[in-house]
Amino acid sequence: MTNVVIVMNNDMSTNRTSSFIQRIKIFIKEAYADAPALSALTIIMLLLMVPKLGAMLLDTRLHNGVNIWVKPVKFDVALVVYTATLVIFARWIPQQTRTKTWFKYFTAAVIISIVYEQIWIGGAAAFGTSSHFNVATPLMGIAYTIAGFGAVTLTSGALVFGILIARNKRTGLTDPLHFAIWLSSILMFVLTVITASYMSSQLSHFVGGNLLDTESHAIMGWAKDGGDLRVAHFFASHIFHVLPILVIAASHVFKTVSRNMVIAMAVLYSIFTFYTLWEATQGLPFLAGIIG
Amino acid sequence: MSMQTLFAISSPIAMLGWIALLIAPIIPKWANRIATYISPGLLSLAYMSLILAFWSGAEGGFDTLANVQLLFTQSEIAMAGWLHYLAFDLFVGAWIVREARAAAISHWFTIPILPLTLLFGPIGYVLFLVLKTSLSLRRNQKFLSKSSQSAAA
Repeated sequence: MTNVVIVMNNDMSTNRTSSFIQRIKIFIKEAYADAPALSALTIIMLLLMVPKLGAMLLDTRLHNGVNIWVKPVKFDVALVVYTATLVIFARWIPQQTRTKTWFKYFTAAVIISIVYEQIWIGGAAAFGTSSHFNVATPLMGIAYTIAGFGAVTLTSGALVFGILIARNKRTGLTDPLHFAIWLSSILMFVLTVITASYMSSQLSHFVGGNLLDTESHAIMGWAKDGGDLRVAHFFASHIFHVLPILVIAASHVFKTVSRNMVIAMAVLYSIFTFYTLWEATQGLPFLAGIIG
Repeated sequence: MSMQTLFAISSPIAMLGWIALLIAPIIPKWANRIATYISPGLLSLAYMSLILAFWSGAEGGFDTLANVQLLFTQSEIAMAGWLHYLAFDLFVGAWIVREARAAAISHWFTIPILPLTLLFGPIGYVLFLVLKTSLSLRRNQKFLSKSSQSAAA
């Protein structure tokens, strides 16, 4: 395993002018070497999106006023982005940690949780019923409860990755970027658990409005006619994409990016996330108070 | 998408695999790729889509013949069944070509068996088993007669 990585690093350094496609190939190979199980899961989930998209094309059943397969496909996209992020972040965890037994079991727990969510959400759609908030039958009630534990388990992947990256002093990253990656990974878990557990303590993710997905934003599908608790969950879960990208962008603008600047960005972003949560609890659509 | 459209798309996908099998000696690698993975894979994905979308609402079941017939009165389920035929018959066809090659059976022997497998799957399958067994018996006999000749000499 070590040899493979060294050889590929040599390839990269000797061949700086290599084509974009080659660089992507090397990137994928490295990612696969760093996190084989999560890489495989990402590819399998992408493949299994195909029959779900096909079902979306064929199925005429509606759920909350929109095609019943919209939700499973949205979750597929979200989980693919999540596992792909973990795959990329895995390279900044020391290899000796990644090969430890506890780490492998932990990764397995994350994967099992993700697979469970997929089956639960996809299965509910196939049977023409709801997944989240569905406690109409004992079976679906139990399935929802298990899904809650599963959701926390799968999100804890970001927490554990964040802690392990924080403890690794030899990531090869600049200090502000290293700081942004581990801080935002930990915050991703904290903010997501807060926003998602508040949402699941309610009876629906809608607050007011027509309680359907018909009056909604084009891509995200958030309610336009009332509060939508999914907004805050979305921003909470994307902090570990936004913060590192902001730091990369800031390092192009400013000469140096300090840890304090990263903290300021994280605080502002978290405030914004909590603002969207408050907004939804007030029955207001996303940014309704600011842009009307 | 209507079932008629899906039906119209699925047939050429299967035929592509069968044509590849017929000309397998010319393109052995690609014939196997198309007839074992690509065509049955695409057909199976379409099957999965249909089952995800329509199985839970379907009437009937697998327990009695009447229930099976009831299942196939629904066009979506009948379409899924048709895709099942197309995908699995082709898969068996690809297996026949691979087995024939491994046993050094001339492709001319498998050419009439392949259309039979496409049209009446199990008949083609049984005929191939008969062909394979009889050819191997003949070879054994030749081998035996040769060895007995050499023993006599």
